[in-house]
Amino acid sequence: MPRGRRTDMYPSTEDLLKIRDSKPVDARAFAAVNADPELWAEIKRLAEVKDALQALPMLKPPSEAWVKIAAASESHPVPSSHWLLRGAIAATAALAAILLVMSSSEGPQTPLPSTTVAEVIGPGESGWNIARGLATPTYTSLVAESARLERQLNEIGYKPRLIRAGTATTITGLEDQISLIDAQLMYSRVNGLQPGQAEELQRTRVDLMNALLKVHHAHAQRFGF
Amino acid sequence: MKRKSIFALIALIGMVVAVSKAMAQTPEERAEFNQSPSELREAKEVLEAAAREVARLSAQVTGPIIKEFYLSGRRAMLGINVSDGEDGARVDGVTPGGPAAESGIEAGDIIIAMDGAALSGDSPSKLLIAQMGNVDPGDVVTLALVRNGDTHDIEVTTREFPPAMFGRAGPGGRNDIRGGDFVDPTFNAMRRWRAGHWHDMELVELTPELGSYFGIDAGILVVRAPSDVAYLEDGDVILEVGGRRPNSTTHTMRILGSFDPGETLKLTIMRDQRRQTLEIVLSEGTQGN
Repeated sequence: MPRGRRTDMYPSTEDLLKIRDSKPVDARAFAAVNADPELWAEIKRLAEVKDALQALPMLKPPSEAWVKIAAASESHPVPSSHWLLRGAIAATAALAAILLVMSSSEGPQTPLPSTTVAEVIGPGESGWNIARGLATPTYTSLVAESARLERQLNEIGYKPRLIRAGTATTITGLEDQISLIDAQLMYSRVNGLQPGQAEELQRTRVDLMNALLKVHHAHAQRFGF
Repeated sequence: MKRKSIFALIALIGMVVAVSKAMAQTPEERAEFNQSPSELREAKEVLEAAAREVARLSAQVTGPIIKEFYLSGRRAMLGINVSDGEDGARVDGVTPGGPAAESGIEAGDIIIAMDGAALSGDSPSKLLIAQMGNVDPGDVVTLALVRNGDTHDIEVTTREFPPAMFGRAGPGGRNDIRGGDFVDPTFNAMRRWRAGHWHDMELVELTPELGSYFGIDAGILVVRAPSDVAYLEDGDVILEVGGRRPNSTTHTMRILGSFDPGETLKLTIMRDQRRQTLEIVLSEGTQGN
């Protein structure tokens, strides 16, 4: 909170948000803001943040995401003193990711449905698979993740009419590879697959589904009408 | 001050990564990189990584199985992968864009019968595979399945597996596995994804209204012809590719991508209200992207 000249009352953040949103506010709080240029600057900043957030496209969160988060946090209680540090690390990582994306690509960026193997929670598992390579998802959890991505793809419900050949070829390439994996998973049952090999195929399928979902989602956002 | 230093460090790392990524590319790749949306570039990277992974697994185990499966003549696909459930074959995955997906089959469905024959016993999935051995691509099969406790009969028009599965497996083709040598099934697919001369072409599927304007009932309109393939022009309507009628824009690219450099591609189009057939000898780089 900026510090400036004060009247007999110092407005709270809630007061600032009410003024930003043109809602009724305590007259003394308004007078205090009116008398302080730094507080007006803070309201302007809050308004810009609000506008920026409202400009983001609407995206549905992954189905049952909060249920899974709640289940995961219950199974792994974390001391509250650690949350601040974890939050700071997460914020730094998010900022680094944003900067990476901004510096390595052109054009307007739109948030995309982002799912990775790391988000998989299997029905019989007690917690999160923290990151690919650190934990090994089960075959069952990978199948569940694949199915979830398929549902999301169906929910987009958009079939491109106008399409660039390069995009179409990428889509067919992704679909063909998934088709190849599905055939290998299905027909290899006759002669048997080692458990690790089936999981590797399923893991690759999840990656391909993720990529396909992102391409369709981005195309629908740019050209859907 | 400390916070500014952290921001500067993060920004610097981002710039170094972006610059080194750009420098590692050839001029052609850089041009394509700059033209493509980020998610498309990311998808291509995933695709190539996946192709390598699948190729590795194919070489280890599944390649010989797939070869045996192919040589047996069982080439009709449903576009699903299944496992054994208690009452039938459980659908674990549905191939996007595949026949089952287009018929509305979903992961989690339990297939209890195919064409009236029950799938039961110790391994319903093996029974389903055995049944598919009697199906030719294009045949319609009826699957009885259970979803949320209700039973449904769903008809699925089977298809031939995509060329990427077996290379260019046409008779006499250089990757015709019936000739003896099994070629890494991802080999050709990987080449197809590299930049080719079709890549900036833009296509639109004709609606009935658009079709009536052109005097035809179906086809794929070339909105923007490829910049470095002289044969096609803006406004052409593709009717057939290699004797096959494309039913969508992606289908068009799938067929185009099934031709090898050196092969002659017959393209039937409508131009200036006249139907004509172009014969195009594909040079290196004019392959379907």
